[in-house]
Amino acid sequence: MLGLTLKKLKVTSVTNDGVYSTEIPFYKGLNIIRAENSSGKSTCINSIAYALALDAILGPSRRKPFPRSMHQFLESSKVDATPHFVSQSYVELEVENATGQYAKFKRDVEGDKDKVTVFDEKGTFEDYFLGSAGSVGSAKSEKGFHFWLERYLGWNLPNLVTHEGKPTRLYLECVFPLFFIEQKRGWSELQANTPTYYGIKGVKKAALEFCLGVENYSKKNRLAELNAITSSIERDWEKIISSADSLAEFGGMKLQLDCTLEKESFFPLISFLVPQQDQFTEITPYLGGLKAVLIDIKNNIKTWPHYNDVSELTAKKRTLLRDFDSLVQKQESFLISIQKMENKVSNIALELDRYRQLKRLHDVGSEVNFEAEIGSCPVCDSDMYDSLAKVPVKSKPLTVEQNIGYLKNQVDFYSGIKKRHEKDLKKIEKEQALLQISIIKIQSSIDELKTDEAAFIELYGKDLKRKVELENEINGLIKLVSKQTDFNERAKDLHQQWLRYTSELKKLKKKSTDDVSFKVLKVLKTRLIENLTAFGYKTANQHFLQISEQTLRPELDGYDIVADSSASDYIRIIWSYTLALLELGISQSSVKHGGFVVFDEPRQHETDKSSFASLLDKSSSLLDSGGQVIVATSMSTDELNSYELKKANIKIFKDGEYILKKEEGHS
Amino acid sequence: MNNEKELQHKTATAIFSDTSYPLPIELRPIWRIGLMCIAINVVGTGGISLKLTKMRVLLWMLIRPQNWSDYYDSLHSYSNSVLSMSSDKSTDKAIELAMAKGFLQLDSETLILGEEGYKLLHLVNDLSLFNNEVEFLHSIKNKVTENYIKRILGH
Repeated sequence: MLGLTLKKLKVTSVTNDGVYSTEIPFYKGLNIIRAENSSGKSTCINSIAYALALDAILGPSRRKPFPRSMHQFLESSKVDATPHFVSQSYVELEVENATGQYAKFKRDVEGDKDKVTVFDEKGTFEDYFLGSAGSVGSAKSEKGFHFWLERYLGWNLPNLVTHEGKPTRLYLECVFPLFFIEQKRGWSELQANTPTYYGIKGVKKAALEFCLGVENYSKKNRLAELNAITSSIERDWEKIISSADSLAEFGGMKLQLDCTLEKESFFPLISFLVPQQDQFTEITPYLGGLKAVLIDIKNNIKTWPHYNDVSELTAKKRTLLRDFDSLVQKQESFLISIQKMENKVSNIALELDRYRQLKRLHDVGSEVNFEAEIGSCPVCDSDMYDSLAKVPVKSKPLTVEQNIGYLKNQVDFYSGIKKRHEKDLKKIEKEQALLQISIIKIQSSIDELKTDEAAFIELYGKDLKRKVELENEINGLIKLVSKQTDFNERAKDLHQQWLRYTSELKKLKKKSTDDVSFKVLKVLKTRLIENLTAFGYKTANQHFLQISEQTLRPELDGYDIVADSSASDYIRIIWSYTLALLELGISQSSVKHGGFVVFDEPRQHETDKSSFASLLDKSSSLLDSGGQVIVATSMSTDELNSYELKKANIKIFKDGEYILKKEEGHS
Repeated sequence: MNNEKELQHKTATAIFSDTSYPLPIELRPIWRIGLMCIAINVVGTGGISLKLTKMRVLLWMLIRPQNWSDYYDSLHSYSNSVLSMSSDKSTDKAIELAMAKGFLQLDSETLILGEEGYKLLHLVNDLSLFNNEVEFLHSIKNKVTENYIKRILGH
C-alpha cells in the first residue's frame, strides 16, 4: 500500500524585491528535476521532507536544511548579484493519500517553523504543531502534525522500547529514510539518516519490519519467552543431575543417567547403582534382597526370654527406691523435731534449775531473816509484785513455787513429745532397713539376669548385630529410593514441560517460514535480485544474496553487504533495495510504503551510464502501477536527453538560472 | 456455707482469765539483784565495786545463758562478732530497787556493794547458788575491759 502521492511542490521566498517562487508538479512514475549545482535543486528535494516535517531525515546536522535564499537574501540570477532580503519564506506540498483524499501542507521556513498548516480541497485549513508541545510530542498529541499525518497515511506505528527500557513508539522520521535518499549521507548506507537520538532499540529493523508488515511483535515476544522457558527447563534438568550426582558420591553409589531431555520417550532419568562384588546393581532389587534377608534373620533370631523379668524388677526397684526416699525425708523431719524438743527441754530445765536455786534462797533467806521476795515498794511502801516487768492490774505472776511447778510440767510435756518422736524414728529406721534389704535383693536379681543376657548375646549376638546393620542400611537405601523417585518425578515433569514448550517453539519457528512475512521477504529478495541484475551489479553472484532474518537487510553469505561491495555496487544496492521496497508497496497490501522514493543525485561515484539508464528505465516503468520516483540530478541536459525517456516528467532548469524566480505581477 | 456466713457476722470477744502467769526468772527482782552482787564480787574492783556500764553489759550476758559460749568466743577474739545490746528496762529497775533496798550504792557511776548485798552474797555462798553464773564470770572477767565496753557502746 502506498501512503502518499505527491502532486505539487511550491517553494516561496518573499523579499524586498518581490515574491520569488518555484512550482514543481509531480506525476506517477519517474519525475526528474534537473538543475546545475548550487541553483536550488536540493532546496526543492529538501522541501518535500520539510513540508512533511521530516527534517530529521535530512541528516543530523541539518537544522536549517535550506540555503540562505530561503532565510537571508537571494539573488535574482547568477549574473545579477544584488541581494534581496528575505522577509518570509515557506514551502507548500500538495498530496493525495491512498484513498484519494487531497491535502496541502504549508510550512514556514522563515517565520513560524513549528507548525504545519493543513488545507483541504475547499481551502479550509487547520494548524498542527511540530516538535514537543509540553511533554507530548507531535506524534502523540491530537494536535500534533505527525499524529495527524500518521492517520492520513492510514498507518498505525508500533510501540517499542528505548535502550533504557522505557516505552516509546516508532516515529515517522525513523521510517522515511527508507524512501528518501538525500545527497549528503543518504548514499553511504541503507537507512543512513535514521535518527538515533530517540534511543529506540533496534530502530532500523523496527522501521523495516513496520514497512514490510512483518512486525509480529507478540509472536516475537512469545519466541523470546519460549527460548527463556526452555533454557530455564534445561538448567533445572542439569540441576537435578548435579544434585543426584552429589548424592550418589556421598552414598558411595554410582549414578546412571538413562535419558536425555531431547529423547522422545521418557525413561527414569536417575538410577542409583549399589556397588556389590565388583558390579553395580540397581537400588530397588538390591533393597528387595536386603529386606528378604532381614525377614529371614528376624524369623530365626532367638530373643532372650527374660527381657520382661528385668523390666518388671527394675520397675519394682524404682518403686522401692521412691518409698525409701520418702522414709528418709520422714526420718529427717523427726530428727529435726527431736533436736528442737531437746533444746526446748534443756532450756526449760535450765530455767527450772535457776528457779530451784531461787526457791532455796527464798527458803533459807526467810530463815535468816533475809527478804528474798520484794513484796512492797521501797520508796512508797505500797504493794509490789515479785516482777521487774510491769504487772497487769487483774493478774499477777506465779509465785516462785508455782512457777517451778509450771516449768516441771513443761519439761514433762516436751520430754513426752520427744520420746514419742524417738519411738516413731526407730520405727522408720526399721522400715528403712527392711526396704534396703529388699532393694539389694532385687538389684542382685537384676545383676544375675544381666549376666545371663550378656552370656546370651555372646552366643547369639552375631544375628542381632547383623539385624541392626541391615535395618540401618535398609533405612538409608529407602531414603535414597525416595530421593530417586523424587528426582525422576521432577525430571518427568520437566521433560513434559520441555516437550510442550519446544513443540510450541518449533511450530512458531515453522510458522514464521510459512506466513505472510516469509512471503514478503521472498518477494523482496526476488525484486532485489531482479533490480541488481538490471542495474549491472557485479560483485559475486547476486544469487548468493539473502534478506537477513535478523536485520531484514540484504546480506551476502551471512555478512552485511556493505562490507563486501565496491562503492558503485553499493550505490546499486541502495537503488535496488529502495526501488524493491516501492515495488513491494505497490504489489503487497501488507507493505506500508510512503508512496514515493526520492533519489538526490543518484548517479554517485560515476556509476556507469547504462546502469543509470536502467535505473531511470525501471523508475519510469512504475508509471502505470502508481509509484513515484523523484530524481534530482545535475547531469547535463544533453546527457539527460540521451536517455530518451518517454514516460518521465522532467523539469529542467537551465544552467545559470536559479530555481526560485520572481513571480510576475508581484513587486 | 450458712454456718460460715453466720460466723462472719459475729463479733468475737476476747476473754482474759485472772489466773496468775509464769515469769522468766530474770524478771524476778531478787534473781537479778543476786546476779549484780556476784558480778561485783567476781569482776568488780576488790570485789566490792563495779562501773555501772560494765554492770549493764554483764547483766545482759548473765541472763542469756544459752549465748554464753558465743560471748566467750567473742571476748577471747575467737570470733569477730561483737555483742549486740539494747536497752533493758528491767536492769534499770533492778538497779533502782537494789539501791533502794540497800543491796547497792551508787557513787559517780560506780556501784558499790551495800550491806544487804553482803548478806545476799553470804547466802549465795552458803547455798552454792549461781554456780554456773559465777563460773562464767570467772571465765570472762579478765576480758571485760574498759575498751571492750567502749566497743560495745560504740565509743
